[in-house]
Amino acid sequence: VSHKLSRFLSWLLISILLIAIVPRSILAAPPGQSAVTCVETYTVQADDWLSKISAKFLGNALAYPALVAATNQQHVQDSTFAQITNPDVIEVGWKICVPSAEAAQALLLSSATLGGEVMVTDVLNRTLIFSQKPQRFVIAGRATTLLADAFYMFPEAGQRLIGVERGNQSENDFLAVIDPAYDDKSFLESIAGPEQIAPLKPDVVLLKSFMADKLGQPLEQLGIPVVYVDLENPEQYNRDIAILGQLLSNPARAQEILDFYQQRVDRVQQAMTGLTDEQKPSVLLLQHSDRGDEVAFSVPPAAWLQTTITELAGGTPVWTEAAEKGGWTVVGFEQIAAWNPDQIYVINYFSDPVAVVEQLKADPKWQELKAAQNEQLFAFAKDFYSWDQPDSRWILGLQWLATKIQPERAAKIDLRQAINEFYTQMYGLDPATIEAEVMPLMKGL
Amino acid sequence: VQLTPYRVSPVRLLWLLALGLLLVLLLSVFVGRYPAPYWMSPGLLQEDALAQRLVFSLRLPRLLVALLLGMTLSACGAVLQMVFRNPLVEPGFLGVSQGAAFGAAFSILWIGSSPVVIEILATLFALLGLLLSYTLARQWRFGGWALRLILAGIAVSALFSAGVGLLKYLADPLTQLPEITFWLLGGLWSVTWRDLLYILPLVLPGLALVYLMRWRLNLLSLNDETAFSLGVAPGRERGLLLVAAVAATAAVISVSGVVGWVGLIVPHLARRLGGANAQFTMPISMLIGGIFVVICDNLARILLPGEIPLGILTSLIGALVFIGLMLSANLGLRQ
Repeated sequence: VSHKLSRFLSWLLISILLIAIVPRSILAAPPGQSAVTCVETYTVQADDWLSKISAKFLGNALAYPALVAATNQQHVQDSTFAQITNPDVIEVGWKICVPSAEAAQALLLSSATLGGEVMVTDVLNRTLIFSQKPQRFVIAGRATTLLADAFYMFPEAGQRLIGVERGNQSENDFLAVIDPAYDDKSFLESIAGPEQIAPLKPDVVLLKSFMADKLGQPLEQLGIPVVYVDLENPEQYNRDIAILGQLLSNPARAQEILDFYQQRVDRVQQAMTGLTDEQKPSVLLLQHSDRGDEVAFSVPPAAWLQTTITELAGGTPVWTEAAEKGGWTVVGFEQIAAWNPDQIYVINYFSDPVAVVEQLKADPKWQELKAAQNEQLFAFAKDFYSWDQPDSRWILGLQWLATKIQPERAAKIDLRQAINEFYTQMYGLDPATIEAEVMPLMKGL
Repeated sequence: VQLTPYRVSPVRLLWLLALGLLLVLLLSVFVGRYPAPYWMSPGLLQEDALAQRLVFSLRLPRLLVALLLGMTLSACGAVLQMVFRNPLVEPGFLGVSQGAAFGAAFSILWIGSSPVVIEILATLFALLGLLLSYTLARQWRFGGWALRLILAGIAVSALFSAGVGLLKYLADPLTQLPEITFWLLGGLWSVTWRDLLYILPLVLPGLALVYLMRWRLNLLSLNDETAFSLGVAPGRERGLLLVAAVAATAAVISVSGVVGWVGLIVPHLARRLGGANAQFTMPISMLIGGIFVVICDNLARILLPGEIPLGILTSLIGALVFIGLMLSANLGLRQ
């Protein structure tokens, strides 16, 4: 009897092995992932352009996106092939991959690489070509609200976004204020996998680049194109807003947004030029958290946005050496007292930082600190979200921080005006809506 | 009182479980959230290209990895329990899982985040974890063997957990940290054929070896003198079995993240149902483990518009079933 069993179980193991291996070779690899073989390689000559090469080898001048896609795919494995980020610009000497006629047809038909209407190169240097403007966007991954806030700076965002994770930092959903149809979106839980995203049938999924292995690859196996953006610090903002502009076929709006941010950064930087180190107060940013089982204060890593805006605003961050690289580092009162900085800013993402600061001011221990004695203990400003994080509001955070750290030099910054400009120009809100929806939530201005 | 340890003969039970497993696997292919929650009609496979790709490039490998994960964790739990003559151990208690987690984090941080490298490092550190726990337990001079082994395992696990915590401190917050965090979270939602292919070379031989040597386990769970007199070289065979089981476990963990409790609960269930003879309990453990994890992973996939971490479901459902079965078995004895 146990012989039979043995045989049965061995058979089970073997069939698992077979099932595991067979489909890989039998099933057609999904588009965008398939290894296109080049029937010919072509080196670009003077006076060549892609449609000419396409006409010559593929018999159709309009089939040039297949050359772009095939060459870019080859480039991933073999860097002697060119990487074509703009089909209008090719250079003499570039090595181009010419796929077989069938493969070219398949490339043209597959949703990720069809026709040349929208072409975008994302932060991982991958080039995607969409035959039509992508209409159905899903933003996935973790902490996607901050990403969605950036996406909504484009006026067409509301129509295009079909699925997003619901925000958890605020009971009032900011996006519901700017998009009346926001409640009709599909809301994903915080870890949505390909199985949950596929039913939304997105044309494109926006992810942060660290999700590439975990979520990006499985999605691409389904034939769902993925575009990576990061938006974690000012430089990435410049780069990634431009990517979103390409993807939404609205580069003009991207430029407007970038100009808006750049003007304000420039204004703050100009106001702070010539500051000597003695003129810069020492500044401590503390996140107060009463979630979980204990009350804790923590400081952000040196590489995060909080450090950048403190420096831009004319302060010297004191916490950078204590902070570990990986994330918020909890610090005790002893450490805070040892720093005894000129100014302390208290951040609270989930409740009211002003109330926290009032409590601290009443605490005899905290009253001993230089910042408390000189009335330089502040709550970090927030409305829907705290202004210190890599959300679109970091530009408000920067201006606000400048008026606090260097009040004389930043005297020209009118914060009320800054808030109005931000919400009007970035999100199209009118002053009455700002007054009714945003200002009541304002804390610590 | 008449003790009847099992009502069904082990052989029939095995056939039942094997059929059950095939049925569960078959049904699981059509369980998911596309095109609508819970169930996809098989007919859709012929019409809808997205459904085809979803099933063939994501659900199938995921199912198979879930199956292997369940079989491996249960087999490893059973091996550890018998070899160490301790019913309270499982990979998570002996530094194996935490060692694997540390190895993976270490690899992401300093060596590389390619799946093969992560797998190798996870395996090495898992073996190191087991070795440390065992050596410590041998060195200590108090308490019984069962207690010492558990204590040593807890200490080693704590060391490795602290190590993972430290590595998270050092990780680059923009790229490495999210990767480590995601890895530790566990879950099979990102599994593709590639992941399955990477783990097969360790998992299949490991499982096969444990399966083929299952009858030796009966001898190895005796004390050394008795085992030796029965013609076994206990040290070598124990070592071989442990390395095979732990390497297979580390390999699946390197894809799934740490999934707890399966290795403890399933072998107990198997013994409760099939008796103490490893000849039968080993395959019963593997089959129950496979069915159990595949079902848990189905639930993780379909219940919410987001993935539920697999470890939560295995602990919850596993513990409930376990308590229920133990209670009903007690009742049976009292009659």
